Amino acid sequence: MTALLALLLFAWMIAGAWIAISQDDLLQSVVGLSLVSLGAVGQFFLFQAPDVALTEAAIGVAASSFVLLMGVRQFGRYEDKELK
Amino acid sequence: MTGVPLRKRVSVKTLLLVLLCGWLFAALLGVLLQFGLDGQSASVGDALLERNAETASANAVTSVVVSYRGFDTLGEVTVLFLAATGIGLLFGGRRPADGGILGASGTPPNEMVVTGVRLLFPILILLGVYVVLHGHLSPGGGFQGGVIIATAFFLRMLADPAFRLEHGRIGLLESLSGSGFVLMGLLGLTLVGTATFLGNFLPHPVAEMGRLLSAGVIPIIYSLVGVKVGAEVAAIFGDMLERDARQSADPPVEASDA
Repeated sequence: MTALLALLLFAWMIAGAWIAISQDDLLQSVVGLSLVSLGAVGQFFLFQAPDVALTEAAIGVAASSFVLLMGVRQFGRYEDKELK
Repeated sequence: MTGVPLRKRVSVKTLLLVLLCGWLFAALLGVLLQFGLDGQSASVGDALLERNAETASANAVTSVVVSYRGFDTLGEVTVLFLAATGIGLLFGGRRPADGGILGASGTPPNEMVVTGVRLLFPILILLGVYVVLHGHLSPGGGFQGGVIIATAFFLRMLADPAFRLEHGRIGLLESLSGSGFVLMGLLGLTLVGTATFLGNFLPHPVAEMGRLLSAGVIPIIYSLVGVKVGAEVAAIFGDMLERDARQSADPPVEASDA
């Protein structure tokens, strides 16, 4: 059961990372990164590290997303096509 | 395949660099694979877990973070302080001449944001204080609770542009709690018989384990860490938001060029 949940969370994290890379909309990229962190929270909790899970929830999901969102607000929402 | 000779197609410097990296990787792998096999390093965690009852802290992680490795925690908080200082220097360096940042952001915040934050703010503050105060009983502690409180204030700043954190007051709070941390460590150094930095000089009977008022000096230190971390992270958020608001208040110079 634990292994199954862990595999599900791994799939969740990979999907979040894929969203973060593939989206042109940077707002959705930030959401994707936040999903990766949320999966990491689940992993830490699953493998009996609730302290680290709480830290990841506070910093990875909330605080770092806020910092990235402020960057998105300053530099524009859509990825520059010339950079690709 | 092509007419270019081999020595032009493969750069010798790159090849040497790759070889060096490969050799370093192999050497480090050889060291790392041996690590912990002697049983010496693996027993540290077990030894700390066995001795955990002497700190009377129900959460073993907290007794390691605050008591056994308290000096490391002081270092971590200092690193966070330096990061906050650097961000403050970068973002808050140039004040506009008129000093006017109030009401700078062009569009008022969304109605849903305002209503949601009004609902969430007290709950987040309560959760943060709970996590800080119960650091020695349940998972969590000063770092996590401090960041939760800072997040609550960040949301408040988003929803209410007139709400500003006073930098002077935040700096005072941060330095007072930091000095309190060091003072606790020095008191432990002088009052405890074994003369250890951050020694537990308050009574901490093991029978009280699991109560809110237990574990002696640990909840006090974790509360100070919580205040310090919360003040630092809130200062980081505040710096970034103010810079943001100031930039959007400026006339868009780049847009006219394009």
